[in-house]
Amino acid sequence: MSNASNNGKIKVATVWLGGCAGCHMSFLDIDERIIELAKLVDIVHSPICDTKEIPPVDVGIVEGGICNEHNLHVLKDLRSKAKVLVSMGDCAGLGSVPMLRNQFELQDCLDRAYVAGESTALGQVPEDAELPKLMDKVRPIHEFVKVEAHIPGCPPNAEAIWCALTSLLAGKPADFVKDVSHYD
Amino acid sequence: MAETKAQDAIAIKLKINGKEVTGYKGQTVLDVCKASGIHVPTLCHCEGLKPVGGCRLCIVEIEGQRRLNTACTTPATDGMVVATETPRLHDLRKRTLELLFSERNHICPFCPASGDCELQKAGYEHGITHVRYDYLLPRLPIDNSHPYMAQDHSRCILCSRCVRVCDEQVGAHTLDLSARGSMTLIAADAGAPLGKSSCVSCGMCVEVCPTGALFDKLSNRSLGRQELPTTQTVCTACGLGCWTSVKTRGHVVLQINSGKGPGNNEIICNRGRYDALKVANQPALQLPQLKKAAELVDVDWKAFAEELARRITSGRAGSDPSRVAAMVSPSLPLETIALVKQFMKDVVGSDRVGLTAGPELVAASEAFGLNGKAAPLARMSDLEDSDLIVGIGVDLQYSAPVAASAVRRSVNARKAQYVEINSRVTGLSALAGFRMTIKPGRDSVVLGATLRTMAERNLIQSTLSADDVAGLPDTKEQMFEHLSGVTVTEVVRLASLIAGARRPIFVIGSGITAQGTEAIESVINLAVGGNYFTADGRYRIMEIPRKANTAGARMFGTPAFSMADFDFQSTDVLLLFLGDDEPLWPAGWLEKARPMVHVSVFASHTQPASEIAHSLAPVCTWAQRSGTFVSLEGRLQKTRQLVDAPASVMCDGEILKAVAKAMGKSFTPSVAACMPAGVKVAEGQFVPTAEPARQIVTCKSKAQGAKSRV
Repeated sequence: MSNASNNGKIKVATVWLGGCAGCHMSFLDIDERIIELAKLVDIVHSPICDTKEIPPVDVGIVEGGICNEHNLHVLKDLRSKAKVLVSMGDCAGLGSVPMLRNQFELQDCLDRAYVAGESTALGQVPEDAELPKLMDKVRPIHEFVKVEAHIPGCPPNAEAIWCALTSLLAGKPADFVKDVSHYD
Repeated sequence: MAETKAQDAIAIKLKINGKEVTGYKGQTVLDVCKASGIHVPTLCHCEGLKPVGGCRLCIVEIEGQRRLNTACTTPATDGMVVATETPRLHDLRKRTLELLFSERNHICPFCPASGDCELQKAGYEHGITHVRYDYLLPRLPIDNSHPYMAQDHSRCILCSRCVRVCDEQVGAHTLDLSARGSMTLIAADAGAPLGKSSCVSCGMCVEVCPTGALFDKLSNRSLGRQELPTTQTVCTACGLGCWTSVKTRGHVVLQINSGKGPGNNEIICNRGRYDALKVANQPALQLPQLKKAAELVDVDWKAFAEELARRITSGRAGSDPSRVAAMVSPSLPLETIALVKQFMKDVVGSDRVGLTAGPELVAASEAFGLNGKAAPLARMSDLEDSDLIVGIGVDLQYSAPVAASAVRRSVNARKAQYVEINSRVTGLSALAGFRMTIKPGRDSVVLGATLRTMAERNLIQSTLSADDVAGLPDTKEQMFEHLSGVTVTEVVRLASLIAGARRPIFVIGSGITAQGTEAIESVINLAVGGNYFTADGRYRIMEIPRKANTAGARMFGTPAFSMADFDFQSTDVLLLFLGDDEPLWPAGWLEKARPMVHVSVFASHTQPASEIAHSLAPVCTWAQRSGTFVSLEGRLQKTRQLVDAPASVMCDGEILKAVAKAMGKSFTPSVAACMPAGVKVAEGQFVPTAEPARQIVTCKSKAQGAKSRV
């Protein structure tokens, strides 16, 4: 991978789409190695940085599947700005838990959550121009954009994330899956 | 059997992945690969089940053949050149797996099989990080109706292992495939909920399921991603002594599966898998208890030992040690029985050691002429070798489900016919080609009359003398049909069925043995009169005892008493060694024991006998100790200690030592010296058997005192 950015560091952006934030938690779980990682990369956009726009980056990391139109918008934005796109976790790569709602009609899911809930009185499905519209079906990200590598796991353990990043940074193919990754 | 096959079979040479390997004619390509240590991925293949070639994961390239073949169904031939790992195969296998992942809802994070799933493992092995096909995401039902297992069709890959094990090994054929294509579902009894189906609850389908489609309710939350220690041991839920393979974590027994060992039956049953698991992790009691003011309260072992010592050495028991009696469960190892006998003899000075068993124990010892030896009875292999199986007074499905499976397999394969003689409907009644409903207690008359019919009508080449035949019960006797509940036609039918068979076997249970010596002798008469012996001279009679060590307990000789003839009047102190076992107490038995001065119960969990106990000793469960058992086949088997007992729980020997110390006596258990002579064989070997009778016993011959059986 060419180090196009300044200080010879690689620019990384991470986004949190239809997921539970567990993958980002696991990302932080690489503990003190984050210092080592910081010598190699600049995390320029992330749920843990306060930046609104995604700048052009070398590596884009995606947590979560595509549940609503905003997810899709962010994904396409990141794809257009990242040289390499990586899925982090089962939701982004394998669909996993959020995908379970695909067995049901979207309207039934909304009714169950907002109207027919046991503790709900006079509930109604929220509707506002500001709210992103839910996709009819939840999909993993590679059904929308090209993805260079996938790190499965719910969440992927810190080792898998570390291996994936260091392999990618070293320009090696991301064939780390056999040794460190898992689906659960 | 496999070894003889290998010796007799013709060797063939194959080249697999460029390597010369040797196989045998009759083996599949997969067999040869496995024997040569070449890994071929599989999903629907399962050792011991017929291959179906369904999952397509074991595809291989065979030189000279245009299409790919499944290794599990392709016979290996001499000179075959096979490739098991090529980029093309890897790619196709990967696609196959991705199709499987996309067909149903395989969501690993909350699946109980995750970490122990063959689909998942195959996914890792093939580097699958995402699925390139659209998920079908069908909405499929979950069947939670069964008490021990649940079925989630979302995780099913339709490998049909469960269907095959249920049919081929369990013989129940409860499960089958319904509908077609990707909409196929595993169905019980054409669509019944599992819990309301003909399922025998053996759990073999759960054991062979490669994914989490069928899972255990008792252990599904406990199994994790890491490899768990697995120990091979022997099941003590009934007298069959099947081998089991037990998963443990720390001090906890998590799951019981079928195991491998000598005399292995390949499958296990509901009792061995689930009932045994329910008591494995007891005791619920952590400390001994003493009854104080009508309440049992926790005490320490010292207080327990002192109280028991005081009761044994004071009062009437103190001056007359024979007022102290002990009863041991025949579910406990030989060591425990030996230990209690030694303690009672050397420390207490009483020879009153009985067994918590019914009259069947004494009756069988008498009828079979045991003397430190095992009864000369048939084994599982004889059962499988029979062409007529006569179940008499036994509910095999209840008492020994694995033996019931053997019967079903034989009948399903049309190797044997099953005939049932019982006063009640049993779990195998539906399988019976001929059924005789007999009045309770009339078996000896009907069986005697059957033998007489066989002899009188010259259905068998009989060696019986005219006197012998005349001594047998007769269908012409007055009120025969009324008293026995059986018609003469039925007796004739039974007689001709038995006589028409080449190798009949008589399977008897407590329905016969509990009736006493005469009933057992009537079965022996059938075997002797019809000359139904195994090649090495044992009766073609298989007895299904109630408890794990009934056969072993009998080898100690006739016990002083059983539950049936216990003398309540002459007993002040009663020690009950029960372990995990809950004896079938005769009605009112415990109530009669209640007024005794002291009843001490040694058990792993609270049970009916605890109600009347003045002192309770928590003891190790079957999983927390090792021990020696004699199976109903007469095979000496040893159970392994799987987990440690809680620190406060002791095994019987240590407790008895403490009691002896409190009595001011020394007690050095020498279990080996107290064991029956016959058990000095290696583990897995058969203990010596008593000589079978060669003459029948009738009322007449008995009256003449001609007890020349042995």
